[in-house]
Amino acid sequence: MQDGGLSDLDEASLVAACLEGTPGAFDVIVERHRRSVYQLCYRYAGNHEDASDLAQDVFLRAYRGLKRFRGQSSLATWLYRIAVNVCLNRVGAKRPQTEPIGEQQFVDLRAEPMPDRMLKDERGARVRAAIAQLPPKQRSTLILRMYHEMSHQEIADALGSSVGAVKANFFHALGNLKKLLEHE
Amino acid sequence: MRHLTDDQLVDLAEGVVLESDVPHVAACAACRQQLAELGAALTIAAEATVPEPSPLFWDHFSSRVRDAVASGAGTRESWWRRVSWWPGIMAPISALVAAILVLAVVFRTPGPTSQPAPAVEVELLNDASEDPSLALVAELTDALEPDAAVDADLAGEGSADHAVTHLNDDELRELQRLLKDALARRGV
Repeated sequence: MQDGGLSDLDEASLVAACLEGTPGAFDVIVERHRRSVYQLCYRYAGNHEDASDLAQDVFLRAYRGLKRFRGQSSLATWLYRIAVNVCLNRVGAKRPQTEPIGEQQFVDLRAEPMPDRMLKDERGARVRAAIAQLPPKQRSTLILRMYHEMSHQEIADALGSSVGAVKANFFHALGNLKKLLEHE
Repeated sequence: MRHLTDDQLVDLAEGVVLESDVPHVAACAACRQQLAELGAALTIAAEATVPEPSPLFWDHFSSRVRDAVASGAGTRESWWRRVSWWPGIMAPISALVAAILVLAVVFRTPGPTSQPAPAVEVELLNDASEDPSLALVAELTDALEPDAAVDADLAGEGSADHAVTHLNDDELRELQRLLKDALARRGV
């Protein structure tokens, strides 16, 4: 799809284009960040349907609030901040509605053998369920650090916290995660 | 002997700092044990992958976002939207809405039986855009920006935002009646 060169724009230029009302500019932002936002939402929601709805909500709120993005953090960090707020408000401390093991949206039959994949899926589901039981800040810190490779400073910016608090939350999150899985 | 702090253990476990650079690790069995447990937890956490949706999902997702943005964009900004940007205005107004809702639930007249509502009232509820009282409620809740809603603690279950969007028919009718009375007293 031709987008008039929008795909080549850097982040600041793309945001400016959006604010000017350039057609297709926000589509490029969505395309660049949809996977990571969806994955973050999935880690809170535990299932595809809710993750998809949450992710859509994140981008809608981002579109409405784009004029308040000042560029002090990366757009990804800003989107993650919105996503964390959306997910915590909608999902909260409730245990997420997880999908049955093996019910994936897309199965690559050329990948590892079925038994290995099912075992991996099962372990992954158990770990996701345990992460869902962590306190909100610990959960958010773990998700952003482990799966979105954000620096401690970026996480602090996203969560409105300090680097020291982020590291402490990360430390406790890992400790609690291990305890939760050992007690299952 | 001072043991390693949480920060230091995290840096070591993630490889940001090398163990060889921290002599205490070699000297302290307790800290080595903690470090090993932290490393094990990192390995476990890494197993929580997210299932990849179908490749078709992504194009469909972008279309949904585009449609949602288009349906919400371009609407004429109401006076309420302009007012809602005033700092600190949303929390007291939302508290007022919540108070009205509480009054509506506590003091409502005995509701109708399980019989279906008369057709005229159903039409009135559906026609919220022409009813100033329901339009006001719709604008109040719709104008809440994410940050304002969160700051005002309105976005979660049990909050005013949640309450307004989850009223049943009886509660909506009672709210409508209360708001009409309030508007009538003010000469609207």
